[in-house]
Amino acid sequence: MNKELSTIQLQTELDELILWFESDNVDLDLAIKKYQRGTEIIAELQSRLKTAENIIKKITKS
Amino acid sequence: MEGIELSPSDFVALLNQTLDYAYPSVTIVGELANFRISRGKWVYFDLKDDFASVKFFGTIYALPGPLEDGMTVSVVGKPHLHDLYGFSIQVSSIQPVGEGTIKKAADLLAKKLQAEGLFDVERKRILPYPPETIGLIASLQSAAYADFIKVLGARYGGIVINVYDVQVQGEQAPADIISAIKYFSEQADLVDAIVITRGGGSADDLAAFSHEQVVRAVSASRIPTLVAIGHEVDLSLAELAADARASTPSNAAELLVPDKKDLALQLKNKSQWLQKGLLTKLEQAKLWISDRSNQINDEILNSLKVQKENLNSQKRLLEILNPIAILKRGYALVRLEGEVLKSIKQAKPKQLIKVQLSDGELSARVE
Repeated sequence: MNKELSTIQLQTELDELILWFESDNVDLDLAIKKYQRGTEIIAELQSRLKTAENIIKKITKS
Repeated sequence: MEGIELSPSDFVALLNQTLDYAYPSVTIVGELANFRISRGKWVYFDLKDDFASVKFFGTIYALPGPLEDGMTVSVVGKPHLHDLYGFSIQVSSIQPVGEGTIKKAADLLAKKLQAEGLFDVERKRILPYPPETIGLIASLQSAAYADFIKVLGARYGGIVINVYDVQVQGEQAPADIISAIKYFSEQADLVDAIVITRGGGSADDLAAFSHEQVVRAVSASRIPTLVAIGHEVDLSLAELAADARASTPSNAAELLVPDKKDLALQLKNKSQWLQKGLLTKLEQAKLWISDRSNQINDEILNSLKVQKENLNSQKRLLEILNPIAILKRGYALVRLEGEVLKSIKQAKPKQLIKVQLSDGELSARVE
């Protein structure tokens, strides 16, 4: 689901979600949606941390 | 050749042909003398020892940086007899030789580039942290390359590392490094950062990283640069011109990316903040409902109070208007056949009237 987003994009989105919870907005439905999205992102980032490998590409000089 | 007559042009051509065949390239190490630059482009100098002196000719693009008479340099070039100006060696590259000369050449170059502002702190850009793509300029056979890749992999994953294999010492090194920087700068999809690295070595080994054209290429790079050359004590001019420098190849990897363990801990903390955030929102919602409930209760109570006051007010008014209350003050109601008498003219003598007082009624006859 989050494959199209880069790790940095997910981290930024997560930080924004956490910041939203500091606001005065008391929309409980929205809070639950944002919490669910936050837990999805955390799970995805944890998975990437465990499995992601660096990719080495050797440049062929012309 | 004896007995064959040649014109001067023929002789020059023949000699150059022989030189090309016998000495296509020579490397001569000697002391620099009569060094001069003409019209900002052409370079003339001699290399000498105690017994001989050889003339050289080239362009400023072959220079590693500013040079001075008395320096020991190694020059690679092609021997050539010019039609008019005689014998010289056409220079393809010059390298200072020996620690003293290298240091002196580096100091001269550093002074020149410093004056041009290439090392200014204001020019430094911030490297993306962490980068998603890296252009790595290193020798694939070097320990520096292996160390960098190993430490980077141990700390972080998911980065695309484009490796450009270069010579990191010797005559070919400056041109290789410049080509690599140019290659990364010309790609349609630019990498996030360029890393240039090699391990430690002697001043001679590291000379390419203080070569003027290399330093200028690092400084002019479109992409932010991180340069890590040698051990902690080594400092090249390319490092001074880079946006960031690292003390070793491993240190370069450490500066470039966060550690997985730290990130895992941060994620754990963020998960807790998220949970705490949701609980806070629930508390805030409860508080909001409680506030609204109290507000509604207060409004109902206020409304009841107002209505009660209105009733009391009306009750007091009714009490004031109540005829019984008036009778208590000594007044009486007089009725004739059920009708209240308001005038004496309404009653005739002998008629029976009812007189109502506050505590009862009595009958009377009109006289």
